Amino acid sequence: MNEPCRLHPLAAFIQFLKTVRELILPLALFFLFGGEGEGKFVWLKYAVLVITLLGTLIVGLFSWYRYTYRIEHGELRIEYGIFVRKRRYIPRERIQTIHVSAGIMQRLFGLVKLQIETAGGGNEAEAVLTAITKAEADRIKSALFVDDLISYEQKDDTSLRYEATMKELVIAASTSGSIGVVLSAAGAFFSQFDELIPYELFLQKFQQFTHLNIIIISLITLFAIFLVWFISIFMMVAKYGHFTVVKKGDDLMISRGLLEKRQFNIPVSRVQAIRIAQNPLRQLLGYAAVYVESAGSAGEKESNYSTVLFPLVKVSKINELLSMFVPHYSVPSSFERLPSRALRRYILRTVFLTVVILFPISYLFRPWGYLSLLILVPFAFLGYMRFKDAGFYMTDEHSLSLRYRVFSKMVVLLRKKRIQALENSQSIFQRKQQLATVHLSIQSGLHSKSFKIVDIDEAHMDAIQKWYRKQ
Amino acid sequence: MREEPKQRISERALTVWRISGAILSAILWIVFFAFVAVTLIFDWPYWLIMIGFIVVVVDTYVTIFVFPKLRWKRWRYEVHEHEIDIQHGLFIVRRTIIPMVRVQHVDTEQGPLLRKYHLATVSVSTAATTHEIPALDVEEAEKLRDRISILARVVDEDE
Repeated sequence: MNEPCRLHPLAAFIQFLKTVRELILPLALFFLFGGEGEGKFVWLKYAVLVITLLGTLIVGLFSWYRYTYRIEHGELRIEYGIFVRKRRYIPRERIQTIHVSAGIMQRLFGLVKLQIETAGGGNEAEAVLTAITKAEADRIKSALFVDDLISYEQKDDTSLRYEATMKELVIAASTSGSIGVVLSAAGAFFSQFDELIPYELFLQKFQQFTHLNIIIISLITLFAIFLVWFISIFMMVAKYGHFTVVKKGDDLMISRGLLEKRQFNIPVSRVQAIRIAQNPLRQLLGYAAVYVESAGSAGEKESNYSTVLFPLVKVSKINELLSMFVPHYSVPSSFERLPSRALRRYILRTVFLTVVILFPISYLFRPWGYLSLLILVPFAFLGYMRFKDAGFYMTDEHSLSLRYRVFSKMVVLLRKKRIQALENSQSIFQRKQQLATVHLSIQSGLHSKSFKIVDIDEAHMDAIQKWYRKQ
Repeated sequence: MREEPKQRISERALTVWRISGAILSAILWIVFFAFVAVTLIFDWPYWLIMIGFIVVVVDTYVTIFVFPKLRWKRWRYEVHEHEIDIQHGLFIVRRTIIPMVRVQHVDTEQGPLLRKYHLATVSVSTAATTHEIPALDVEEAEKLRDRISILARVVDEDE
């Protein structure tokens, strides 16, 4: 492995595609506004296009040719740059994660992309090997993670494995809120083209054709919603298909994706908290999604470094799974609830804004306007549910669990070691009722995340403080 | 509730806060005069000016005289061997506990206003959060920074 190696030539092509993608907009602008091109100058435009593309391709080829990597003295050494030679040495000890993924291009050629991340740095991975063979990726991995590999073999030969079933994935997809995302994305998309596509004309034609009535409109709407729902289910299943978690030594290796396979490792030592989320629909069905909050890695950028650990599991099976994959974390069977004097504040909080908006409206449209105040009932109920679900529990000296509801019910499992700071706040009104809000901050990605429980009993607040201060 | 932390921040913080409050109020007064001009030009009702005037006067009084005093009274901190204890807040009182083992680094910093009054801010960073103790006497701030930095050197033993 001491010989400098090159990436697969596909890397040159990927680089070329990437540059072209960035050039599309300037080129399109150039073609649109670059003047009509009188007679014989027409060819000039195309010449510019051809030269740009050719130049990009040549640059891509050269940078591929000049990009070499090798592993020497326990360091990954990369040399690159066409005119200015750049060298980057990454010592093995500094490597935090090695992230292997395969995009569509890589898949076509049976290759993978390997990203290496160190503790420091921003969002970009420190080293990206765009296209290498799988065997090569394994070789690099084992060469850079030798120590870990040995300890794997010594520690346990039976690595733990979890795989999401198709049934779970479909339930997860159909009960997720992602239909809203798809709807708003579709909305944004169509509103973008509002000026290009003459919707009104379509609608007029359509109207003449069918004598559109309410039933047809609602049928079409219903159909559209179902269609969007199916698309969102399909997207979720594609994203989380083949979801597996394997525990090898102290690493959690998560891989997922039907079309584009993604794989990433989270060392158990970097887990900061476990979060269990249940939207009302899933709560009814007795399912929940489990997330890991982990520290510092650019591997998974989506949703703030909350990585899905189990997309959907039966609530009754959570503790069993947690004890297998992330020991020390478990959901307590009961929670310390809020004092009943907090209920009024919870209901007021959820209802307040609605009242402010609704009262003028209902007054303007009286007497029927008063009916709109009925909307307050579900809001008050949400307030009650939030009160009912809020709570905490200190299992032992090291573990604290929080439970709260925004719209979905959340349970957060924390370890004292991972809590960076404890804050309690008390407004004037809270003080009168001897209530307080507790905030717990943890590290999440390169930033922080804080969880809070509003209106807990002052005595409970003291107990948490005491628990936290005890070394 | 536990008893309050003992240390207070420098009394000169009051002066600094009042000055920055005055600067904010000055901006508000400029906005107010612009508003008066617009009202006169477009012949809007005069009571709008009256309301605006009252709002600006009250705000000026509060940001220069009331809030700094309240804030200063509330601001307390204490550095123990194993933790830093901070209390602050105007209407919402916040109490923060930062264990020494979680402290990653400590800084002192000074803006132009603080420098003029020989003050500095100590900020304590953990892996996730940053906490400030504003407006301490410069020598005290430096002493505190060094002390925290020494205390924070404890090794975090594994579970």
